[in-house]
Amino acid sequence: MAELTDKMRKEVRAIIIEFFAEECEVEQSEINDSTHIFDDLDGDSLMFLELIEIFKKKYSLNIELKAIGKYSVKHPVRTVGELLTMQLMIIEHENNITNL
Amino acid sequence: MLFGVGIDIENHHRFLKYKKSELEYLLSIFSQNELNNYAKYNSHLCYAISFCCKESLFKAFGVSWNNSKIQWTDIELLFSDIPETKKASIFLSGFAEELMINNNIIHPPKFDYTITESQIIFESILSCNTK
Repeated sequence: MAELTDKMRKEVRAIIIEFFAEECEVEQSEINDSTHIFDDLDGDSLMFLELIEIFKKKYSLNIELKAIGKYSVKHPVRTVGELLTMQLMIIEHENNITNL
Repeated sequence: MLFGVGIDIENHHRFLKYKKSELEYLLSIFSQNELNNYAKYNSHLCYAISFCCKESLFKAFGVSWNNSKIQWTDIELLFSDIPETKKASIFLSGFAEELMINNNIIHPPKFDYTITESQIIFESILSCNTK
């Protein structure tokens, strides 16, 4: 578990935007918090899983997919902003996100 | 009686990059049985077909990996020959098996897949026993 800093928040946002820009072949400037991952970027679950893994490694997180699944039932992730929120929650709470 | 049909299409080239160095990633969606099985055939197609199989069955059950109790590893696809021969079997466990039993779904699910130059197209069909 990590305490979130402004630097970390900016870093996570930058990684997400860079990732989708590269994977979905769009300009970074075209991606913002309200960008819909599936409708606007044509993103898919494989990208979603890959991004989770990137953060898992970067911040040495103890997080299981089933915990993310449980969190997503209560807090659906459709936009880049929602994904950013979820990633920050994962970094902060790891497997305890199921209790949020 | 038909319970559900699921179709998934993926670009299999995307799985080339995971073959050697991304086992940690693969472990979270593939079971140890699957990883052992796929290692025998040394082909990224095994991972791509298996991923499509899991996604198509989520759809056939009418759920998604992030909105149900079904775990990725509850759905296993094991090959008995190279993936191009289509000699493979699906095994369901955990909540997927529970759903199957509760809904009287015939096991194993029917499936078929097509491998094109760039894509895997996987179709699974869940049928129920009628009384």
